[in-house]
Amino acid sequence: MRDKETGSCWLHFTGECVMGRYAGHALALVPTSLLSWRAFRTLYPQATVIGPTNPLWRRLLGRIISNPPVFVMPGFFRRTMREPDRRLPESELGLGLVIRQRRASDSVIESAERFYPRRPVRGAGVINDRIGDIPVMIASDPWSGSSVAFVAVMDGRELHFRPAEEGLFLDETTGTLFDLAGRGVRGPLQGRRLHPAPSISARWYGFVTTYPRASIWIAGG
Amino acid sequence: MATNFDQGHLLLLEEMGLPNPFKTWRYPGAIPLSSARFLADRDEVLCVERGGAWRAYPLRLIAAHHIVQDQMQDQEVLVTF
Repeated sequence: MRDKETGSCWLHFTGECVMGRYAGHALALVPTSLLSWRAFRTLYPQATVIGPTNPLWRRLLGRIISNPPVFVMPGFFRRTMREPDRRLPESELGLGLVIRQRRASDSVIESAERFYPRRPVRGAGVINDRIGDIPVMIASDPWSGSSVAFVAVMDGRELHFRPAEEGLFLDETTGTLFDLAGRGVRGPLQGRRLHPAPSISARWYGFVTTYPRASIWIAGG
Repeated sequence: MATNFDQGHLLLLEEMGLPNPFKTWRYPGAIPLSSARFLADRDEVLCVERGGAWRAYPLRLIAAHHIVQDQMQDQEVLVTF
């Protein structure tokens, strides 16, 4: 994307400016999550939603783009990309985590990226994983199949989750039920909140283009 | 949030003399959840929090723009698809 004020070009994935006057600068990333409308209005009843005030043709086009019956990569778009990474189909939807840690030995910041394909995560309901030294939990929204990710640590204690009631997840360490916003809703940690893990909902081709060294979570792996 | 077009692609369109089909949606306006009867339970929404307030950006509304420029709690936000 490009800002009109200076014509600088920015990566929407990372907020980094890669060309122009602001090259080397970055926009501050705002944590987001991708949820079903059902889950969102349950979790945040006092929230707002943008209304359908844009032109009808854009709304109709948006329905197709956001949920295409068949994903087609335009030929001229492919000309701007490197060779595809065929570890997954390029259209595969999933959640990509980007974890950065400062190495204790020399304070160098290391980055590790992992892609969680949507379908196997949905099949599992919740994933307990570790990226570097960081325990993470990936939970599936039962109404849309999208995923959210949290750091699975609270008060220095590692938590371990399994699916419970619809849209809720049980931490087996404390017996606390958590929701898709990472909030403890019942049990010893009620009222506490898990810290979101840095993540982005994306198709495989977009995530691996930005993070070519990304690993892939595999069920049973 | 991923997009189908990266920056190189947008520049390529301009070099080819083609219009950019994705026009930024500026300050779309927000409504209470109870007024949003156009959404189904399974519809996906991008959820953004600023200053304690939450807002949903339905993917099927924003997809044909790819960029939404909005304001929440007096803070400027850029939502990208």
